[in-house]
Amino acid sequence: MDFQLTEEQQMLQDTVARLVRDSYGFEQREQFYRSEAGFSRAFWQQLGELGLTGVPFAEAHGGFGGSGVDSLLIMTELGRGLCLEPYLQSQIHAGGLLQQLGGAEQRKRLLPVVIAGELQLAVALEEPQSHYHLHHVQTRAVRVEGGWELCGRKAVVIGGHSAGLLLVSARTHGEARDEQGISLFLVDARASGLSRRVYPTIDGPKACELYLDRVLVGDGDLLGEPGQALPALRYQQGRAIAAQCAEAIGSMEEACRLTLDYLKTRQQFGTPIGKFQALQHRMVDMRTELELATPMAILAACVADEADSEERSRRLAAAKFIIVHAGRFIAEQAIQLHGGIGMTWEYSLAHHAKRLVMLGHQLGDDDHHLEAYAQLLKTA
Amino acid sequence: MATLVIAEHNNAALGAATFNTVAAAQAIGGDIHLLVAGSNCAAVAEATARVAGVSKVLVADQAAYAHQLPENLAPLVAALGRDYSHLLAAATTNGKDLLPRVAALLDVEQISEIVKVLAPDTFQRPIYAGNALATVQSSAAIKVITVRGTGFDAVAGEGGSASIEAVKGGSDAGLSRFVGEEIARSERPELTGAKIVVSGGRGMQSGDNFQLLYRVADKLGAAVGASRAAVDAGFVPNDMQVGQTGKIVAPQLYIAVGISGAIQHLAGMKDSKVIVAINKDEEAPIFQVADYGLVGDLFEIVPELERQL
Amino acid sequence: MKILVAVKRVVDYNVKVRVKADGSGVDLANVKMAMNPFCEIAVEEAVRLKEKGIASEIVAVSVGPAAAQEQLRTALALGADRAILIESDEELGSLAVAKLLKAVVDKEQSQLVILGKQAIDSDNNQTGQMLGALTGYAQGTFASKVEIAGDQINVTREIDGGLQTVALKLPAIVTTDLRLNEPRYASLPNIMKAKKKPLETLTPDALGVSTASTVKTLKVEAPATRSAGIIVKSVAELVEKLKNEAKVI
Repeated sequence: MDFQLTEEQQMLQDTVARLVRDSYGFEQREQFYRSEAGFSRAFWQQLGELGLTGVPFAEAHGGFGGSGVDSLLIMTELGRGLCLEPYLQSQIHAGGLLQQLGGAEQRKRLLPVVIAGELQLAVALEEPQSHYHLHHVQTRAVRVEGGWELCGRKAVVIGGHSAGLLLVSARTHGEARDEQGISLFLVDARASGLSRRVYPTIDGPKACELYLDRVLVGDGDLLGEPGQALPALRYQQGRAIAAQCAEAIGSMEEACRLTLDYLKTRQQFGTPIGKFQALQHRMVDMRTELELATPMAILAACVADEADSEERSRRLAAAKFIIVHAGRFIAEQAIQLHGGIGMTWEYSLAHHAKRLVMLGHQLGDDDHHLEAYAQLLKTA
Repeated sequence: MATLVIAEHNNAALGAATFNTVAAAQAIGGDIHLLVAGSNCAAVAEATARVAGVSKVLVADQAAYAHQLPENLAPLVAALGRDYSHLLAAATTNGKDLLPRVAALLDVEQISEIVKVLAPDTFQRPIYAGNALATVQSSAAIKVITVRGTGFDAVAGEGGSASIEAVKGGSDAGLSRFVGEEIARSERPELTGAKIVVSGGRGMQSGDNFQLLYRVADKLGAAVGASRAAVDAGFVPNDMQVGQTGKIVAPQLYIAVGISGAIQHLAGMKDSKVIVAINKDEEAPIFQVADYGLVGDLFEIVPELERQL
Repeated sequence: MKILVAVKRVVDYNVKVRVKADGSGVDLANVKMAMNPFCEIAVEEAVRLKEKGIASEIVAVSVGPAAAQEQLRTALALGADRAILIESDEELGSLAVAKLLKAVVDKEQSQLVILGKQAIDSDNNQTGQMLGALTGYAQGTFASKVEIAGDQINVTREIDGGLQTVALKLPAIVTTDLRLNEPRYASLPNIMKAKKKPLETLTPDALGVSTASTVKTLKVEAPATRSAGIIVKSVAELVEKLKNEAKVI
C-alpha cells in the first residue's frame, strides 16, 4: 500500500498546518473559547475562503470531491491545534447527510452556502436515553397540513448553538427502538417552538440540548423518504467517526510531542527527567500506542467513503475502539509524566487530554464499538 | 599571504565591527591591509591607520562610494582583491550586501559569517540558525569571507601606525541611487526579534517598578518582557508575556528579573543564548537554567546594573 | 514585466535539526521539507506585483533535487504562472546556484528577480548578490518594501540600526527580508490549478554551467551545550562576565 501523499495532498496538509499554527496559538484559542460563539468565526471564514470547507463534498455539487484521506489531513491538523470550529459536525457529518439524502432542490439551495462556509450545520441525532444508538428515537414528527410537526428532545448537539440549520432525526412511525420509521428533517435554528440550552463541553467546544415543542417544518424540509433515514444516519456517522479518529491522531501526536519536550526540559535531581529509564519506558509506551492508532485512523479514512458494507462498518468500529483506547492511555500518561502542570488550564496538554477523553464518548464509546464489532463478527 | 579587510564606517567614524574583523584577519595571519572606501572619509582613514595590527590603509575617497552602494563598490574591491589571499568584511548588513557581489566578480565562492579560524583555509561557521556548526575548507585562490563579530575579540583601536595610500576608484555605475535613510529609531525592539530581552516577574511588585527595567533595556537596546505572574497581577499588558502561552523568544541575552522560573516561563525562553537571573530567592528554579545568577534585592541590583552599563 | 522568483527546498522551519553522530552533516532522513520562508515572501511579493498589474508573468525557479518539484508546485499554487526546476542531486554552493539562475535570466529575459535573502539551512546570504554581479544588475538586498515606478524600482532595505531606501534601475535583483509581506495560504482551488501549470526540468549541463566547488565541508557538529551556570557576587562581576566571557553586551 502506498502511503505517500500526492503533491496536492501535501500542499493541502501544509496549508492547513500553517493556518492552524498561525491562527491557533494557545492564547488565541483561549479568546475563541471565551467568545460567544465558542470558536473563531474569522477562522471559519478563512477555512471557507481557502476552499477547505468544500473538501468533503462532491465536485458535482461544487465541492472539491476530496477523499477520506483529504479529510484525514484536515482533521489531523485541526486536532493538533485543538481547534474549536464545528468542521466535523457541520461539513463532514451534516454535510454528508445533506448530500446523501437531500433531493435535487434541497442540494441546490443549501450545498453551495454550506460548501462556502456561509451556512453552518449541526446534527441532532442523539437523545438522553439513546446511548449512542441511532435508532433509539423518541422525538416524533407528525404529519400536518403542508408539512410536519416535531416534538421531543435532542441531546448534546455539538455546534448546535451557532448552527443556522439543524438536521434532526425524528420518528414518523413505529416504536421507540424500531429501525424503521426514522426520518431526518431540516430545522431552521430560528423556528418557533425550538429552544436550546447551551453549555460548554469539558473539552472546549460548545453544545446544546435541543427542545422541540410543536416545531413546524415544511414538506421541503424532509430529507429523503419518510421513515427511511437510518441507513444514511449510520453511513454518515461512519464518515464522522473516521474524521474523529484523524482528529484524535493530531491531538495524540501533539500530546506526545509536548511530553517528550517536557521530559527533556524539566530538571530534577540535577538532570533532565527524561534521563530516567522508568519515564523513558512510559514515553515509549505512549509512542507505541500512537503508532498502533495511526494506521487505524488511516484505515478508517480509506474505508469512510466506500459503499456501505459490513466490512466497512467493522473496520470503522475497530478503528474507533483502538483510538479511544490509545487516546485515553496517551492522555493519562502524558498527565502523569508532566505532574501538576499537566492539569493546569494555562498549559495546552491539559486541553489535549480533555479532548482525547471526550472524543472517546462521542459517536459511540469503546464499549459501544466493541459490541458493534462483535455483532458484526457474529453475522460475518 | 595578505588580507584585505573592508572597513565598516559611515564616512565619519569607524564601525566597531571592523575591530572584530581585523581580529579574524590576525587569526588567519599575514599582512593586514584595510580598505576605507567612502566619500570625505579622511578622518576614518586616519582612525583606521591607528588600529592595532594594520600595516596599510587603502583609501578610495570618491562621491560614488558615499553610501557604500555595492554596484559601485564591488568592482573596486574585486580589482584590489586580486592581490590578496584573503578578503574580509564584517557580517553587517553592509558587509553582507557587498561581499558576495565581490566574490562573484572574482568567480570565487564566499564563506559567510565565520566564528572561528582553524587554519588559513579552514573556518568554522554556524548553519541551521546556529543549531549546527560547520567546519569548512576552501581551496579558492582568494578566500572571500564575512566575519561574525561575536566570534572574535576586538583588536585595540589605538596603537597601530599604518601607512595611508590613496587608491583610484571607478565612477558611478549608474545602476543605483541612494534615496534616504532612517537610522536609530529609539523605540524598543519587538520582543520576538530582539537580541536582548529584559523580563520582569512577580518580584517587580508593581507596574510602575517596570520603569527600572525600561531604563536598563534602553541602555542595552533591549525589549522588555514579563512572566505570566506579572501579567496576571496586572503589572503589564498581556502582549509582553514570555512563556509557553505567550511569546517564545530566543535572544542572545535574556535577563530575568524577579522571575521564579515556572516551567511555562522556561518554555518561552530556554533557547536564549545567555540567561541571567536576578532573584532574591536562591532556590528559585530560574537559577537552574541561568548562565549567570545574582542573588539579592532587585531594587538595589537593577539600578546598579543601569549605572554600570 | 516578467518576474523570476527563486525558491529553495529546505528543512521545514519548525523542525529542530539534529547533527549526525558521525559529523558528516545534519540528519535529514524523514524530516519534513518545505519552501524556505524567505522564498515564500519572495513568491508573495511577485504575486502582489502581478495583482497590481505590474507583473505580467511569474516564473518560479528552483535548483535542487527532483523532490524540489513540491516546492515549485507550492509556488504555482501561490500564484506563479510556470516553474523551472534545475535538477541536481549535489548540494550546490551559492555561486553555482547564481550561475544557474543567471542562465535562466538570460533565457527568460526577466526584468526583476526576487530571491529570499538567505536559506535557513546554509544561512549563506549570498545568491542574490552574486546574481547581481553576474548579470550586472543592481541589487536591493534585505528588502522590507518594494515600489516600482516606470523603469526604476525603489527598495527600502533593512540595515543595521534602521532602514535605507535605494532607487535601482531595472532590470534588478531584490532579496527579501521578513517584514516585506506576510505570505498567503495556498487555497484549495489554486492547489488544484497548480497541477495544470507547466513545470519544466533542466540540468546544469544543459545550461552549460559548471557547478564545481572549492569549498569542502569537513565536519558538522552540534554547538556547545549550555554549561552549568555560575552565581556571581556583584553587579560589577555580572557586567564584566557579560562583556568579556559571554560577549553579549
